[in-house]
Amino acid sequence: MWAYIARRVLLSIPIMIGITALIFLISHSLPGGPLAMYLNLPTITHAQIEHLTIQFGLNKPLWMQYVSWLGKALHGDFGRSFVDGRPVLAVIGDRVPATLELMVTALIISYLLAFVLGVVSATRQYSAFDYTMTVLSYAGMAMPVFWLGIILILVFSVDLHWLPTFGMVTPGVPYSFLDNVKHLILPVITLVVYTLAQESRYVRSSMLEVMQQDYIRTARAKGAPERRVLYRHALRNALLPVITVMMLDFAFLISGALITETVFAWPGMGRLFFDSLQDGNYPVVVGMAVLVSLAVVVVNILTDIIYAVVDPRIQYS
Amino acid sequence: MNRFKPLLAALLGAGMLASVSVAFSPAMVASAGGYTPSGSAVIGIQEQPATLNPIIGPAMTYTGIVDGPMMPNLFDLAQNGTLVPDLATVVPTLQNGGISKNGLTYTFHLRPNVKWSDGVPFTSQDMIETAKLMQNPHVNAVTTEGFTDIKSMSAPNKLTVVTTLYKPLASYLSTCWSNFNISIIPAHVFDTVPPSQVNYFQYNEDPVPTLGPYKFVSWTHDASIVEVANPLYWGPKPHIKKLVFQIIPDQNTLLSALQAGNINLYFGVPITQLSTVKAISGVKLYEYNQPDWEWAQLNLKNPILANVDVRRALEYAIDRSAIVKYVLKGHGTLIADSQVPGYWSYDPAIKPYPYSPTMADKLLNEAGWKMGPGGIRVKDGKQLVLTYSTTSGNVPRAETEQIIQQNLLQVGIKLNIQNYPASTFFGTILYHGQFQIAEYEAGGAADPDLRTWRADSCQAFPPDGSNYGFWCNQTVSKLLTEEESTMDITARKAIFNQIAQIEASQMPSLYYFAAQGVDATRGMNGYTPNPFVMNTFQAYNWTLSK
Repeated sequence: MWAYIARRVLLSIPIMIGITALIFLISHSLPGGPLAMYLNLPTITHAQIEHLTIQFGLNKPLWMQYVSWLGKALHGDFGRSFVDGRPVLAVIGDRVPATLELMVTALIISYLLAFVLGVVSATRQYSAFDYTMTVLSYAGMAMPVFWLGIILILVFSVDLHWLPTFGMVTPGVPYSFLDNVKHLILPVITLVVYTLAQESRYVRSSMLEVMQQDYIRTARAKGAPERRVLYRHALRNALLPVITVMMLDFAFLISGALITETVFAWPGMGRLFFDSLQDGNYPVVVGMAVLVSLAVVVVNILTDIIYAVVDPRIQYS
Repeated sequence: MNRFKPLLAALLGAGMLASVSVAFSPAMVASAGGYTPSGSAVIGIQEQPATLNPIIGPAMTYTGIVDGPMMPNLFDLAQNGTLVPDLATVVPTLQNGGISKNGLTYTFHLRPNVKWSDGVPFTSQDMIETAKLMQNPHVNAVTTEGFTDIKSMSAPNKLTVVTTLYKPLASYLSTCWSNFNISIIPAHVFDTVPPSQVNYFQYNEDPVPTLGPYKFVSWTHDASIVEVANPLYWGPKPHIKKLVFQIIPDQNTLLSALQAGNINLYFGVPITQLSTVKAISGVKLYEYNQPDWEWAQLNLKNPILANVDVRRALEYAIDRSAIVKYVLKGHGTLIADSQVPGYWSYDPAIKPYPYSPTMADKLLNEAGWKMGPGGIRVKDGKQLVLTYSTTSGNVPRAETEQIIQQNLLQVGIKLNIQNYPASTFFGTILYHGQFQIAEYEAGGAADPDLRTWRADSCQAFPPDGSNYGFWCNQTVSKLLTEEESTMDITARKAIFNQIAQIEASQMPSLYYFAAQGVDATRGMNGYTPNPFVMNTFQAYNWTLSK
């Protein structure tokens, strides 16, 4: 097992380098670029543009820019943001807590509910409950996130005055945990609706497939109580594909949720990535890509380990 | 430690969420409704500034909005664009001897007993340090305009500064020393910082100290910036204790926040939201002219557009009144040239072209473009087809394009539309001249000279200016040079009028309209929009409704 993990970690190094090279190349190939925000200023001079080009290192060939970046990145220096001159890690670090707060809360709630609703739907297939959940799931998946967010704001903030419209905390007042949670409710609901709709369908399908298997029939034939059949034999096996999807969700949670963050003015990673891409802020774009790639690689390894725990048939040598 | 509080909230939030939702008692509901804290004004802004250092680029509207209450300059710009003293005691003129007769030497008298928010006195060194940094090539200066014209600076005493220019520059005071886009920075903080480090200096995100009625408290990136009343401010004492600039990127959320009473000030209300905003109880709407205008630059390197008759025909063929009426809902003024209403140089006698497809037909026929098959004009076997570009994702511009496309088809011109994201449009398409017709808003400056010179002068082709259309009229270039060194405002106005007449007759760009700025306040009084400076600079006048 340990040899397997070591092999996976070593293999991930060239993968990470390949990803950074690709992201570096793609982001630098996009039209516009970091000087766009300066070029439309009527007072900008040729000398200023030339100086900025040198300051940002854009005067060097692309491969030299990449090698220089990689050398520094290996020493923990991901460069500075082209927009505000701050170190990339500080810029990203500012957003990580806000992103985790929103995404972890939303994913935990989504998964808990998805398991319960998915299993119940599967065990009561074609019941009124199952049909209702099917309709609600499709509605949840079809509903545009920005629309749902605005509707929630209109109902709970504008009309009922129950919850705040934007941000993580009430601006200008000392931090309070309860205030933070109040701000969390609407964006979390917005994210949960979509994720829950997807995941509950996935759990349901997985459960239904497992329940058709021979070993479930055997378990029932042996006289095992239905509860034991469902939760010991069926659910455990149904978990395997679901774990893969959910772990990948966790890997990508670090990248944030652009639309929800924008609608609720939540200062997360999704907005940072989008703004950086628009501004041609390559150091931040590449820095975030590295972070997300790292999360995916780590989560993949963790998923493999969890597989072995959940399914004793799987062994790594 | 604060950074980890949200993490704690994340872990506990999941468990708490259900109980909090269930446990909402009517009392809690009421307290959540009374959201705005007493003594704080919440200002909703769509983007966060790149920096709070007023001398560092890129120039952003939002830097000006947030810096406005904290960072004054020697002079303020009045509603009509003229200068009034702020950190200086008097505006230098030829008459009061503040400007030498040759227009090269300026003497500034600084206001006595002014202190930075850390208690250090404001002196002539602050002004000199500011200019030095603006001139330093290592500093990513927000603009070098005017500062590169300074030959020398001296401080005869702590409250007097004398600057000498290489050549007379009529716009020097408003460009360098007004609160249009820069401010004074503290010499006692910057004098130990190497210029190469200024771009990354702590002051850029933590601007302490400042000179204005408010001082900096905190900046939570992409969330909010907080300022508090500065007890050491020399001028009128602010009524509101705290200003919170809340970054809300989505316009629908901004509108909802205004409806819910969660913000007191909404900058730049879009036309599409006007009727909804007007219907909100207690909202005050402010509509004002701005020195900005919407236009379409024509690429004169294109042989079709190099013909003045074709350019004039385009202006006649476009029903710009319909655009103002239907797209802007009437919140704009048609313009004839680059001197727009609001500038002292504006001449109402120069009228915008009327909508006249007949005149367009006549001019196109004279230019040799005859009506061909399919209703598209033809010359030398080639159809009259043009490509129109602007920034994508902008609803009013998309609607404007539709009207223009229909208008031009009526006179036999086929218009293809090719839009780009803003960064591509400005960074590549416009700058590198990869367009035929390019629509965007020209942001005006404090002085009418700046934008006109950049757009019209033969010396202002990219990368030396924003004359992206490559129009070169020697008479206009000569007039612009003459105007730059003319100190008398009446004489300058006469020159600008001559330039405007040439623009209107040669039509190097299509001049559309100057859109009005629209802001909204709720639960706040004393707000006075100013076309030339960020409307927050007089925040000391603001009061909250009881």
